[in-house]
Amino acid sequence: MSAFLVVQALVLGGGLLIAATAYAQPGARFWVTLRAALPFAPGLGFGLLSALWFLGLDLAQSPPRGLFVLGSFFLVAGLATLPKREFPPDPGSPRASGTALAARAIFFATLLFGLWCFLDAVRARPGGGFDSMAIWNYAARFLARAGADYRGLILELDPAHHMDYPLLMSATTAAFWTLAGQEGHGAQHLIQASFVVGLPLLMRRLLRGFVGTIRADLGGALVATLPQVLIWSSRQYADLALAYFILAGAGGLASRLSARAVERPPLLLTGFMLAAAIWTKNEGQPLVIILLLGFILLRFRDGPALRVGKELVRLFLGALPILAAFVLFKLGWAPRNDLMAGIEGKFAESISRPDRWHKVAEAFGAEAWPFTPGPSAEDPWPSFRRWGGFWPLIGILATVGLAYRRLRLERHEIFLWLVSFGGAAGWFMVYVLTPNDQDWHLATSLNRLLLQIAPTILFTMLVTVSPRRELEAGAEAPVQEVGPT
Amino acid sequence: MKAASMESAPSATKAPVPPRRAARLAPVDLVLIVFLLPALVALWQARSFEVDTVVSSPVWWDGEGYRELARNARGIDRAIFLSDRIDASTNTRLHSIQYAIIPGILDTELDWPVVFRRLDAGEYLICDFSDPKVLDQEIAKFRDWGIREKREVMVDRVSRNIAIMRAGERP
Repeated sequence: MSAFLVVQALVLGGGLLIAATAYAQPGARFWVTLRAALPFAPGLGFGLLSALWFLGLDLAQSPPRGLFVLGSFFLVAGLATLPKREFPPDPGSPRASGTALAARAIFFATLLFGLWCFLDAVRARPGGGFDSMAIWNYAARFLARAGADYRGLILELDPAHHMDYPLLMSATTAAFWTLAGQEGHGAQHLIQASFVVGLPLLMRRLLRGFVGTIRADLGGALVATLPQVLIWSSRQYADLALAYFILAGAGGLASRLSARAVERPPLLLTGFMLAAAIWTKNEGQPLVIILLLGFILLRFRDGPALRVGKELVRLFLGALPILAAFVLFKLGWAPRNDLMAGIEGKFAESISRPDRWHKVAEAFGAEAWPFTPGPSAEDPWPSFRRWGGFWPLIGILATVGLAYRRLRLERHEIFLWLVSFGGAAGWFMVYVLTPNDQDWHLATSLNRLLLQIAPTILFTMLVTVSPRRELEAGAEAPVQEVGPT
Repeated sequence: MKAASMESAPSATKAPVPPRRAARLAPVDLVLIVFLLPALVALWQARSFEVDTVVSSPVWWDGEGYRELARNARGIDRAIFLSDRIDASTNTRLHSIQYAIIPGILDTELDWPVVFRRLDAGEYLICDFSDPKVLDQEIAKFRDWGIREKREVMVDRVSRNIAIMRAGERP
């Protein structure tokens, strides 16, 4: 375990350093910059590690160990020299009120409680759940043991293991095992724990400028206490990581569309996070397409084409390292997606059957309704235990927000609603069209797919119930500490 | 850290600390706090989850075969599974991987036909075939492979359908 911890420290430290470098701007204080970059460290660290690992296998036929030695050297050198740079004196920021301090205390208390529950759940099931054995850890073993031979083996493996799934989690795990010199579930536990902590931190950070620090703290606490986060992270699934990347992409793009003085994560960083989403799971691809289409449509409406073009180029450059790995994997390694192959043959039949639509609507309703009866053989996990009242809260926030705003939404809010609706509608159609047994598919994956977009939906609703005039007239000013405008 | 001292040392150049902001809670914030309470309860419950809906589903759980497997394979902590079982209700091949759910039995899952190539000493290959004749053929293949690779092979026929195989050290 200690070897895994060393690898974890190096990878997260590297991610933090790169994010801080991207965030750094003249006048920004060192610790403030580091704090702003912190929520992005798991995404950058694991995303880059997995992409470099795979590129090493593809291009050089071996894991790039030398590169990691070099990377570790630069990491240590960077951490040693960065604090010695000249930073201007503290300009003085408003002191937090007692209420704000209480909200902050709630956030960190729930974050620690969530992490403790995660560790408890991991102890109960150290080997993970079904998909982690069948897909993510399965591919990780092949990558770690077979190395570049994986390319030849992957087409021989049973399609039931979804060998076309992208490799962020598997390659990260394989890299941990190889760098640590041992295999073990400790690697997956550390990777998942990083996202368990990283997602609430990211939510809080992205929300601050839009909703003020108090509401951002409460929003982060709500994500930290989401049972679905605990369930799927302790089972070592990739859905939590995807939720993290989608939120990072949605928040980053929304900040660019907003006219408010909010913190804007660098476009390079947002581009990287979007690419990491498609490198995590196949479901990331339609979600990222929705995000990009929404951004481009709304940006072109009032922005000069040249400026928008420059923004897109920066997004693309940020995405490049992971995009390269993803394209090489999909074109040169992965078999055809079995779900898509199945849908093509049954498309007309599936879409024209009302009973299939009804069944999916029923399943969505059952997922959202929190007061199902106690555990039964058919459903041992009623929705309250899965979501803890999350969806009724979303319903309340949506109703209050839209009524309060009289449907006059700002541009970034339209974007966020588009993404939230687009994601939910997309998953609805997946289940209408699924070539698998529909009952089984709904029962075994709907809650996970909803988890992928749940943090972004919460982000959308909290932004919607926090109009600019309320913030300007109220006690809290929008927060902008760092980040280029 | 030097940075920390740099932050606090030049206090003379710092701007005066402004007074506290008078923040207040909006009704929406109170709603969020109220919803935090059931979330904490649900989180507490979720940490001790025991049931895997996938495994408990009848589609995925061919009870008798796997119970037998668990009984016979007790003590095995690394194993590879092969299976050709078909689920009659959906007419799909059951995942060989599902056997992995039996706690403490296996940590490694590989698939045909790469499995022999990758079988390490001390790892178990557990074959579960609906047709015993097919299992006979696979056992024969395994023995042939052992002769070709000059590796000692051991076969434990657990039942008509199930066999546990092992290979000795690589030469």
